Amino acid sequence: MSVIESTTRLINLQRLLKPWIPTTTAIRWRTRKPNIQRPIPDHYVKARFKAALEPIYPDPLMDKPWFEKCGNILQTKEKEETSKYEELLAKEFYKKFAESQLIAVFHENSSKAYELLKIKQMIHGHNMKMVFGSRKIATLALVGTEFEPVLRLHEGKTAYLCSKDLHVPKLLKFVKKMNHLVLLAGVVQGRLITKSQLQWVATLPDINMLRAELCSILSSHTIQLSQSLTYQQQQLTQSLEQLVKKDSETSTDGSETSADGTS
Amino acid sequence: MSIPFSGGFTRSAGIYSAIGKQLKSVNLKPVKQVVFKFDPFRPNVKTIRDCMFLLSSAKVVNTNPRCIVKTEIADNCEPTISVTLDIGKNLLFKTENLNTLEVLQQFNKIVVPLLPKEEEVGKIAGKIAAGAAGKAGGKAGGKSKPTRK
Repeated sequence: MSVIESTTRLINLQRLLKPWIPTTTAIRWRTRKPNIQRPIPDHYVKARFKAALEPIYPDPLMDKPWFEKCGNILQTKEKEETSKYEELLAKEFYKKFAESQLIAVFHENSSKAYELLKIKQMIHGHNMKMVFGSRKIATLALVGTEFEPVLRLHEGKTAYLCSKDLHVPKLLKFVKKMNHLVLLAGVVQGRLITKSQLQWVATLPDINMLRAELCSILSSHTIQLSQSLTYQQQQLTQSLEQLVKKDSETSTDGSETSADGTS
Repeated sequence: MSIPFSGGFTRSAGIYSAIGKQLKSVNLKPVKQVVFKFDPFRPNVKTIRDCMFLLSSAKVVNTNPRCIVKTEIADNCEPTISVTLDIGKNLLFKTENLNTLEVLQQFNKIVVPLLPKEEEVGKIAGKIAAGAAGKAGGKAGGKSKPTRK
């Protein structure tokens, strides 16, 4: 019993010894609704306390130079940080460029999604891919690489068509059907060329034929040299052959006449 | 010592909102043909390329589906936009040193007065009808508020 009494006394004491946090609550009772737009000015004493307790912040422009204090200078953009996703997109972008022999650079006009789908369907199965990317991603992907000159064409909305085959006439045939894409330039085997040069490349024959032509041009001089060196010997052999032929003909004529009995 | 802020206080929303505002009033009805000619390797082609993109949007094209829009890529030529109007006039915008906003402003300044007046009346009537519909919708919405039981 005494144990129970002492514990109850302890609990009652603990209740009394709890920390008391003074709080104030505003009770609107028999007062009008406060007007937030035009509030009633504070009582003089209250206003004095408020003025004394106002926080004093240091002037943010105190230690700054004059060109930061001037309000006329426009705010410069801070350097944007690149996220992991953007780096991944840039890697994919460069990979597609590196794998392709022929890249067409387009200006992209406003279009609907189904037009883009039609283009993708058209180029499907021809070792070609459309590559899209913002300027930020293109810059991340191509700066410092062999495709850096292509960035000068990336103004506004730009699209690329990467082809693993070097078949320019096929590419130009597809380009004619792309209404909302305007061909600006091309990259052929790592070399940036204009639209007119790309059209000229389309008129060239197959590269193996051109290689054979080049080999024949290179070997033509050696053939000429060998011909000019052996010319005299050839002439001599030809004339000797002709002489031998004549002698053999005259000897056969002589033997024929002796057989006939006439001298 | 700090100096107070000196400069103008503007309420402008920026250049892009101004371009958007101009684009809303672009109408190709009095235009017969638009030809964009530029060399993509020249430095100042951003304006013409932006104009190409903006004038190829569905809204602008639907104002006159008969208007022919051509693009010519030529080597070593300055960027120009040649606009042929139905009345026979030809406008030439040399966009090398122009802003997109400036091009659109000048385009609207010349082309909008050539629009037929029925269209303008139609626009105003449409605005009034839209305002009346909005008010009616608001009243109906207010009436149909759920009441507590």
